[in-house]
Amino acid sequence: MLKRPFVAALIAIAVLAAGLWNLPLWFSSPAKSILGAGFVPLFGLDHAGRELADAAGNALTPRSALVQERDQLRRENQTLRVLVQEASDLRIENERLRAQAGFAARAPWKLRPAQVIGRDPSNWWRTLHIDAGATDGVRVNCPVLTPQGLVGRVSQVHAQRSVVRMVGDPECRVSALIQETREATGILIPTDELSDRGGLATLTFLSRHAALKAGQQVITSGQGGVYPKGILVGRIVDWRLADQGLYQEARIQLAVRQHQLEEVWVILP
Amino acid sequence: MNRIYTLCVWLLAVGMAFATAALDLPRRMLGTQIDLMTPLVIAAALAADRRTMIGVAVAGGLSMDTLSATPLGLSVPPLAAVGLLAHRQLPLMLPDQKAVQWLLGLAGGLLAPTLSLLSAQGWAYFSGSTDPLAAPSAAAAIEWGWIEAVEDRELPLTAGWVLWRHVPFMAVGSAFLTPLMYGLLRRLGRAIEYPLVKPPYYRPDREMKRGRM
Repeated sequence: MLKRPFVAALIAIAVLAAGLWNLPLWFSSPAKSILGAGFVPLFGLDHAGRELADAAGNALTPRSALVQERDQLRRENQTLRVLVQEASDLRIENERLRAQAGFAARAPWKLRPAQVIGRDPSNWWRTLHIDAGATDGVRVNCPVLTPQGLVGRVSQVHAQRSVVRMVGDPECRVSALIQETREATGILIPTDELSDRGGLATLTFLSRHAALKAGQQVITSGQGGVYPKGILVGRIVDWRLADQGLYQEARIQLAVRQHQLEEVWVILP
Repeated sequence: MNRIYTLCVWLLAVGMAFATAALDLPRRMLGTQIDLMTPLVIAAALAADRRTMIGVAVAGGLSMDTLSATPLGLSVPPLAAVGLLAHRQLPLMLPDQKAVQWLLGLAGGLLAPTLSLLSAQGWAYFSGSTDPLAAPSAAAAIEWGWIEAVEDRELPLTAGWVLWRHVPFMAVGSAFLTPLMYGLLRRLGRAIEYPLVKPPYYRPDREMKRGRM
């Protein structure tokens, strides 16, 4: 039988696949890291090419457009300064009240900006590659966010880059609650997505008595110890009773447009 | 096929895997990443020998898995199977015809992602894993369009149609890319390999002997 090259090749591939699939995690994970190190120069080249293209684009941008954008940013900056003043007052008040109530003070976030340098080549996962790694202080399970809301968590850390699993990936489950009512806590799991309006996820295991409304904001609950409490995840689109009425589940329009992410922030430990 | 050509095609496979990860324009426009590896494997099956084609499947599959959250090695068998099937039928086909390349790209683009998904779910099932594409997501993936009315609001039919919806896009993308990949491999072959020596037109038995009348 092995004289037939087609059958022999098929058997060889099947044996190779069986061997690779049964690799223990302690071996396959470093093997992936070592193989992935070969792509670091390519990521660097890609980054340099994009910067060059950006520089060329900037040189071609008309002055009137730049002035208009500068004025808009000035106005936005002034608005944000006012909001920061208000927020700092609230922070001081919050810290004082927490101290009076005997609660531990909240540790401020240590944020590290990172650029998105790649995405998962397959369509089955929602992962990102970012240009911050172990040398920048990034660790596994560090939360990743943008000013719009939660992106996900770091799942693999290499020396110069990391892999982020986004909300909606099968391996990224988030404990979340409804901001308005504060009573309904559930788990975010994957679901279908709307390609034109961003992604969707399902918030499941919500209490059957929870009063849900379309448009309610969903934030992280802080349970589980990975994500800090209060990061915006998205808004409720619709909901239904699940599993013969035992609990409710709602579809959530994610706050972050996952297809258009270019820069993210990592919360360092 | 000389060794330099084979090596170049394998490196091209690694580059294609990187390009799939780095270029996100198709994903932004269509919501689906176009598969570059399946058309390359089919083109290699049509334009190169079996060793080169299997090397493309192994190098490309391992590179894809390295850059992806997929378990290492899971993408190799589907790519190799598609390439072997195409290569086996090669004597019965006209590989230079665009229609043949297009149809093979379409069929391969349907088969390879389907095998990938099924093997990922099979792997998750047999390894007892609860996470990678396993129970909830896999069940939801196979469950086509559950629908339920809730307070006069209905979930759209697309709900639950999670992963399989990417497959038709990938198949059409593969169909259009296979002729391009085939042309690329042909050009690469012409640039690297020694040119074929054509038989000489001079034949001594046809030589006209000139002499005095």
